[in-house]
Amino acid sequence: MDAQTQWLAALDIGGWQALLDRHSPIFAGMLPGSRIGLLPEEDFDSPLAMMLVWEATGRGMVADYRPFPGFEEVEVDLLFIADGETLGRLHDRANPAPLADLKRKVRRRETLLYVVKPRAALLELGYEEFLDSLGLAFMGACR
Amino acid sequence: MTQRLGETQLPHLFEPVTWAGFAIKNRIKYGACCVSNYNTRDGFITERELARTKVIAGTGCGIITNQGAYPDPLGEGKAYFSQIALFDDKFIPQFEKIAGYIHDGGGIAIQQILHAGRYGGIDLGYCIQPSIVPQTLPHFRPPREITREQIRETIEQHAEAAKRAVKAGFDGTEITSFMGYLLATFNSKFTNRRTDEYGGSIANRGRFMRELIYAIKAATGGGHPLVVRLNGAELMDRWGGNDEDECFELMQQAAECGADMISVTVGWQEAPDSSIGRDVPPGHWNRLAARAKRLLPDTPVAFGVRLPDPIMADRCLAEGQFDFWEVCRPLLADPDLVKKAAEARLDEVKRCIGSLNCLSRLFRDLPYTCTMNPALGHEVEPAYQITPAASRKKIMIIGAGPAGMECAIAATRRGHQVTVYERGERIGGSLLGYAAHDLAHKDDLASVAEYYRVMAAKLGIEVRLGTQVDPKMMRSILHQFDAAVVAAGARADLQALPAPEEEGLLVEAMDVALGTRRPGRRVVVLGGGKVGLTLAESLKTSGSDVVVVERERRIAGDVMPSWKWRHAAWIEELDIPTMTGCRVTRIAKDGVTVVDGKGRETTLPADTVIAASPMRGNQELFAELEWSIDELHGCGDVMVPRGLTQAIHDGYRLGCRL
Repeated sequence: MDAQTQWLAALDIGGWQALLDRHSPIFAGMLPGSRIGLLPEEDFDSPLAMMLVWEATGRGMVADYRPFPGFEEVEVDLLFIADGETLGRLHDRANPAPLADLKRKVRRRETLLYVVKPRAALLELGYEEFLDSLGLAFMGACR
Repeated sequence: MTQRLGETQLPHLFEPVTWAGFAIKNRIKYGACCVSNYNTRDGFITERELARTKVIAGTGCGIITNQGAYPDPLGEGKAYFSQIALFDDKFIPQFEKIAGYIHDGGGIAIQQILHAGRYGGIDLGYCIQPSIVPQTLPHFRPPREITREQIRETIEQHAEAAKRAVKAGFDGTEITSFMGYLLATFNSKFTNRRTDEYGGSIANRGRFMRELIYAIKAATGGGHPLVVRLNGAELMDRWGGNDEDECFELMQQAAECGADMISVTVGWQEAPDSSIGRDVPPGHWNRLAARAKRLLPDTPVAFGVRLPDPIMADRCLAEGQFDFWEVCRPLLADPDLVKKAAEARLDEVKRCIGSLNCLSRLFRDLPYTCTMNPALGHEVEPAYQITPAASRKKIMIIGAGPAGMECAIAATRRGHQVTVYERGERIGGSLLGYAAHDLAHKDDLASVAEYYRVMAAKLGIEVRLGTQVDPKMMRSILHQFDAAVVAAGARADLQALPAPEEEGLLVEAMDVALGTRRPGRRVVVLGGGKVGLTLAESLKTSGSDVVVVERERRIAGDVMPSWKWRHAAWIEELDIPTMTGCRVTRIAKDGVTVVDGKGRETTLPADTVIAASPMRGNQELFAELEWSIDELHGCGDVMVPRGLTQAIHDGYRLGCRL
């Protein structure tokens, strides 16, 4: 079983959807078509890599697995690169604060967040609450 | 020429040397550590910049590097709103002035060519880099992949810009692979994912750098050295960037193809770790310079990352860790640092305290300023100049904190007779308390108070410690002073909080910071700004159970932008719970009751409740003094509590105009 198959088998879409539904207020302001990608670190350089996509629709956020086509083609606004353990904890229905975990990982740079769309575009797409919840305002440069 | 005392004490720093055929008066290189943002949006140099450059030229450094100019007409290389440009001959006359100032000051003039690559294109909708790899911070432009044709063009633009610098009178040039700029993005595996001859192996990734070096050296001709700034550590290896071995292999490549000096730097903007902040101990990165020197014994190495101390620099030079001390931010804080070192007056140096005010402002597209040096960037403005007073006054200053002492020093230098009254037993005011609790590097903040103590003694400023100024005291000294300055600082506004139901439960942050009140084991800190966070972190480290309650949605609202992450990280690392968006409704023996934005009530057990917000200026004396003295002024936190930078600047400005 290769890494991708393991990742797909272990973390079912239903679990991701439950996460999104539990935290729907954070995503409430996002315009339909806004997309957040999550890619397992282990698959980063694989041509067959699959990523998880959280997409805003008129009826809330929907989780789905899609191929990761590389940075040039990827159609997400933000892309998280996380290790399997982090993704597992995020997916875990018993985790009382999964997004707080993600925030901590991003702040510590143990999870990498690629900002695919410029900040202004993200704000127009309604990412303010989500970015705020991640504490991105705390991330500075040249320190 | 007779050596001055400090020159004999720091013999390696002040040793004259020859580099690339130039006689250099000492081993100090002014580094182009950041751009000033003082210039026009289209790349021209302003009077403000020229005035500042005169100060830089007068610092006494043997080599002076002028801040980075972007080399391309489109501005793909432009990283900062008001960055200078060198893509056309029309800019040459202004650069001639700068080269002239540097030569007049006895320095060798180096012009940095800065193409920001991944962080560039600030006026465009995109930036260029070797491959499309998005940035990991939100304030940059989306990347486009540079084509091979554009690579050739970019190299040519660098070479042309370097040629213009030489034509303007600069002795040499510099290119930089610092921070994640264009050169760094080619060198690093993190951003270079190309499959052509510019990507893949380290030899291929270094090709752009080698071609750049060859092109610039060919364009500028013999006798015009080229400095190459390269990371000793990117701090990006966790995410596929170069490890240190690869960084040093690239240094070797640069040296082998003719770089005349390697300037060793540390870190990318996107790196997870600090490289230059106060939380990094001085000397922490010296090992990287030493490794570069061991690797490249025949190529001069410059270094100064988080190395603010000339004594340490002299020792490193003696040990052969590097050849030139490269210094910038310490000279922003005190442009007379080198002179004071030469004259054995290091106790008079205003030390760079690593507040990162300079960089915080740059990343908000503002001109840089310095916490410690209020005159920085205001060299053309009379309001910031210390000029002889029109009439000599007797001035009383109430409060020996940063605002009061800055005012006292500036006013004394102008010829006034100044007496400072301080109710505490030491100079420094509230800064002493926060220096004691700073988790980063206590000595930096403490050095500010020590500087004031030294200067008061040297300038003959009378400081009456342990003296409370009140109406009775004022009556005793009535008509002895022409002017009074209230610089009494600020305290937490206890009136803004519910009255505690038990005496002694609610204490003021300043009293805890200064050690006059000792908190119990369970502590609730009311206020998640810089005061509250600093105390919370320190108390937690000392073993208390601490909870921070903040009225706003986020903590660290009043913290310097480049330092917010540091507090956020400490709060997380120390596992200090923070309750944001909460207001306090009751302070009682069983604890502090808070209500969140949804109306949910929580009671937090507490032996001690520390009030750290909101702050209120200690303005009571204004009413008392209004009819007791001819001139009455206020400065610093007493007017609006804002913190150290503003207190220093307020005090200085008032001292300049009294």
